[in-house]
Amino acid sequence: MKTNEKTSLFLRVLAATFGMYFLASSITAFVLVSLEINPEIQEIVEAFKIEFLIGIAVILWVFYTKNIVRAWFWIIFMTGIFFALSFWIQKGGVL
Amino acid sequence: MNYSFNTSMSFTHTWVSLIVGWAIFFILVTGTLSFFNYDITRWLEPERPLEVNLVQKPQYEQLNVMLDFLNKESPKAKKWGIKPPHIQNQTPNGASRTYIVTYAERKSWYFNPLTLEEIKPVEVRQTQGGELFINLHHQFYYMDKYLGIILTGILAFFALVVIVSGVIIHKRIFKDFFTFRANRNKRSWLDVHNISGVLALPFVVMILYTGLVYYSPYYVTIPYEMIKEKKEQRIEAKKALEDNSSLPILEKPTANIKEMLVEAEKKFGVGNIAYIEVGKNITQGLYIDLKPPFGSELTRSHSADTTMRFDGITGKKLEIIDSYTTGTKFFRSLVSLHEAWFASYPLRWLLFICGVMSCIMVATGLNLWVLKRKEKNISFGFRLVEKLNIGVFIGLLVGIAGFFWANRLLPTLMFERASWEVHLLFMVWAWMIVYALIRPVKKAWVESFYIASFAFGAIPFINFLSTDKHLGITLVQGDFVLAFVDITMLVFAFSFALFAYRLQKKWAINEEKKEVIV
Repeated sequence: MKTNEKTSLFLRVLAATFGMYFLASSITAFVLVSLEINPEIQEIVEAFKIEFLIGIAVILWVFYTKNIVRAWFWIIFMTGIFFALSFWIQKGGVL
Repeated sequence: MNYSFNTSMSFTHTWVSLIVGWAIFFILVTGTLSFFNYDITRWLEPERPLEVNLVQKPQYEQLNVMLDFLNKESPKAKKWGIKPPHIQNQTPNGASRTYIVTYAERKSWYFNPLTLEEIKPVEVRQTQGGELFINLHHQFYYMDKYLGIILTGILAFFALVVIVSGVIIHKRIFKDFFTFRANRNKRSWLDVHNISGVLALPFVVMILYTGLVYYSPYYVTIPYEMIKEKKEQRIEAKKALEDNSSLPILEKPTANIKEMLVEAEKKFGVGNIAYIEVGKNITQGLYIDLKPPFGSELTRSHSADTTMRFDGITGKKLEIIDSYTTGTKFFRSLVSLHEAWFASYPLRWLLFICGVMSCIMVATGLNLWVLKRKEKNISFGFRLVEKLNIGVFIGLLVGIAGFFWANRLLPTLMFERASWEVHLLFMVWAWMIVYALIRPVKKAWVESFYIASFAFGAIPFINFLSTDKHLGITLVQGDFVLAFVDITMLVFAFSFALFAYRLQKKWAINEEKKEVIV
């Protein structure tokens, strides 16, 4: 494999492991924290374990996307946004 | 990189499956065996009596005596539990199918159901029993418990990725369902992989997904840490409301238990009261809960569908005020789907067959990886995978047969007997891997299958020589559950021998053809 392809593969694997983990965690955290207002619904959504469904989608996307560097920017950006929102809501902010 | 959607899915499917394949095979095999873990435990502890022709006193008599005993023995308990014998009861030592078991303050006592005297359960040989397969299934072995849980979780998650990508690249699902082109090597293997995959697909997706929900806070910790505080606050608040600490003394209920049983049997069926609990709470005072046996309902939840509560003094029906929340019930439904709590024996066999098919799917898939690259680049990695396939897949099965051999052949008073049975499982497996590494590939395939066939086929025979719970006795006396363990071993032995014979013949024909051409 050429160096370009090798770095692309490496970045994809990195995105499929670490990137996926944090992106899925952030989205799930956001959903669960924003359901704090209704604990019964929160329990039910918690039992669905959506982090796995999001994780699968992220992995499939990461191996399909054409430009992995751009994908990485999206991953970091989205993870940041969702974590920021989750912490904001958890500390008592209102969306 | 591959820009077509299909090729990228194909890439993902091939390489992620190579990473997780062997470990997933291990998890699937031990999981499939776990469907019958109680029955395997019974087979592994042949000192237990057969479970046929149970004679017992009427239930209300049993309960009266048990409640007297509990009143005398442990009046300070928070709850008393009584389990009359029922064929669907499932405890690791099988005791609650043939004895009455009573529980209080984390202790248990056993009673003969006919004479109602206290007995000690039979002493059995030291063994991990069918629970071993459950533990291997989610914790692996020779490693820290939590590391095992996290590893199996990660592997199961990647297996889900493999399944989803596999379904995406397998476009013609219904047409391929009926396609099996025999005797065409690579194409035939692909067809076996597709058929076993498609037939077992709903099962595999369900199993992988429900398996992940058990311990997901261990692997994906961040969301749960964020909501943990408020959750614990709510639980503390709820506990403070129902402070039962001022009611430590339980008394024997004075209401008419016979009427309660009749009323409950109207709902759950005659003879179907398998668990009785006596407790006390602030709102309702002394109460008795009557429950049907394990597995009668999907969630095994504490709610009005599965429990009938009576007042201990007046005998009136009461509401279940401490039932599980919807979220808990949903979670328990998922767990129940994974462990097949609800499944009676015919359904359990169907799940077992699905499990076997998913194991075949994984094994043929990894074999396909080897076959596709056989003519191209023969690298070290390729050779390793080719040989490890034989050693890991067939070797694991031989190892499990070795575990059953060890259970019958190790001396009963041996020190650390239970651990040594498991050590033997892994030792036999390791030896089969070494065997596969040193033998030429084709010979290794055929010989490993013959070894597996012998290993499984000899088990009923060893059973006959070393215990009195062999096929000759179990079939005659009607304990079919125990008999079926032996029969399943014979079925597997026969299948392996058949497969080895066909492989041998096919390769012999190919060799002849090559010689003729040359």
